[in-house]
Amino acid sequence: MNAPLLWFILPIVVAGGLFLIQNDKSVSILAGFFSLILFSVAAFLPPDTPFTILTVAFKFEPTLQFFGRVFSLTHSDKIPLMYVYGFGSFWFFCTLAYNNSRKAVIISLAILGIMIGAIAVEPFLYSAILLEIAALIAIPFLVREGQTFGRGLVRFLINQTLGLPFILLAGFLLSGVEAGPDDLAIVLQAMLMLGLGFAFLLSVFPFYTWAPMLSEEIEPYKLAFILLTFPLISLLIGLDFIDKYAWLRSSEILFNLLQVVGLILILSASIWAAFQNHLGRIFAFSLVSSTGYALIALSSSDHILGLESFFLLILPNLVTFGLWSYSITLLDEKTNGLWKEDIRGAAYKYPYISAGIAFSGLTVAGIPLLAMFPIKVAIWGTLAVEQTTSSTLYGLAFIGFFIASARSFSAMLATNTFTGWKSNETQNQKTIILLLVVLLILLGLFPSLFKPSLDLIIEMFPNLAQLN
Amino acid sequence: MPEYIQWISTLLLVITSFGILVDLEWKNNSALMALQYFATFFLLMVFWPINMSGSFLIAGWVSVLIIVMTNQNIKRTDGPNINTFSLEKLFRLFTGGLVLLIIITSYSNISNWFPSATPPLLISSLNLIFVGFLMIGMSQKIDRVIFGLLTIMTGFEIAFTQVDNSVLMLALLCLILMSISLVGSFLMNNAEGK
Repeated sequence: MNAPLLWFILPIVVAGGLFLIQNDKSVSILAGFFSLILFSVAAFLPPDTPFTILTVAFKFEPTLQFFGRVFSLTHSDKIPLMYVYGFGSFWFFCTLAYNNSRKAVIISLAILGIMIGAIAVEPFLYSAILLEIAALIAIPFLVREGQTFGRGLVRFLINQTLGLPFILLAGFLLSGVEAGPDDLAIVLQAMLMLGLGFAFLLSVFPFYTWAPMLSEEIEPYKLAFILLTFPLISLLIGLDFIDKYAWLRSSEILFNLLQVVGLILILSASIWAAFQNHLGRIFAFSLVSSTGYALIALSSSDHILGLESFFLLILPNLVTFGLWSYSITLLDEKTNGLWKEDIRGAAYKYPYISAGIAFSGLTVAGIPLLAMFPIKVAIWGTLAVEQTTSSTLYGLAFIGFFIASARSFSAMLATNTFTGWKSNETQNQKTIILLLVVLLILLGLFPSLFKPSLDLIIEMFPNLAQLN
Repeated sequence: MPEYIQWISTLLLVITSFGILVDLEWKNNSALMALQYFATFFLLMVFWPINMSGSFLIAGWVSVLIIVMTNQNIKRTDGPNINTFSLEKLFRLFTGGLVLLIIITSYSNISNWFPSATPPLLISSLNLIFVGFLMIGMSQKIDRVIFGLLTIMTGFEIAFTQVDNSVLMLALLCLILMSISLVGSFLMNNAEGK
């Protein structure tokens, strides 16, 4: 059996097969279990690692040749495989609660497969093409069933498409840099192209304007899928770039730039979030900021610590935004809108949903005992040692997100006709929200509980880790 | 490929891209876009064999055809006074001209980035990229945005010919061109279905 076939091609084939099933719930359940299987296989039987089943020795071959190009998934890709399919499984099961989710589930399963392809492909130039294909496939699933689309979707299409040519040209220039790393002009050109390409792909400031726009046009759970998967995979591909090229990883400018871009991103997103009157827009700005925190984590001069913080952020991000998108999508379906006026008094009718929104908002604001607190504080600590100004700006971002969270909760509590508390959520919805809230608290209390092994992280990016 | 043919292609590309930028009528835009791919075909032949350049030409024409068919199916009507001369068109022409001027004046600096590119190849590429950006920036109509994206991609493709001549890369880029058109067609249908 071949690893790229299993984790890259098979999900796309299964997604195609799921088109034959018309029932929404069956599609969600099948996709959820399929992702769960891929997650479990990645966790217990990772690629390129020999194992024995009933005395039969077995190994997932790491490479697949395709028209002279190589798709390679090795043991070091265990972490991204687990994150991608673990998140997929969680997301597909959550879609059981939503209406008209069939198309979204099928397309997103195919997107997950393509994302893994983007990680696996060599040479890396093809990653950008695969990411573009994933973005193009995502468009039909982002349009609300039976409704028209707005400017956000068009901007998303433009931004993702513009990332591709810059990365392709950067790839060409990088090969020139490899040949003559002392040529400063080529180095600067390559960095410029690479920076622009990744700026579009990661939706950093000012290229994230499509996200809040899109949050008004589409269901929040779809936005969460896009903003949790695309930047994460782009970051992993970017890290691979940095790890591969000595001149890039030894460049101090690059890591300073990552820090500045990350800081501008979280600060601008938090300021915008604080002034929004639409829950979806607050959610979008918070989602966008997660890329900023990841960039700041990676900018640390202690690269192992930076990589560890980056990977430690992923799971709390997935759980927090998973809970937030789940709650906010349910609220959107029940209140027919997420504007401040639409959600007035929602806390009394939907206390569990409101609690879900409040908990996830506070988690993003870095409130103690919740999932993101230990990691964000650790990043803050590292930043404070290296840069006082940056650490002050970093702290200001917390305030913005806290105000945004407090404002959304006060809007849900505001009412002129208080008729008492009454829960209108189903038992399943209550259980899922409660479980996720408990998980948020658990991650806050025991941040190392689900920490990926440091050895695996070093195995993924050996050259970057060696820089210390 | 003789250099005078490259210069004729460049001239044709400048005219067609400016035409799409200024003219707001979808039928004219589609025809100009098809002509743009025809001119690109000759420039691509500087570095690529005829079969690869031809494949790109066909992919480009197919993507234009997708947009034309969609526009015909949704029985689109352009707004009034679309064919008349207006200040808006003059402004568009002016910005396009400004971009071309910047490209020509900064040519000597930019040519260092792509030492193997001939002058017509580089000017065409940069012109398409920047005029494509103008198209995207100046319109919210989905077919014009799609034409803008296709123009940018064509510009990059011209620059990219000297870098990579692999069939797989060409196939994937052609696939992306057609996918952009298909996505545009999907969005145009949804936009009209209000």
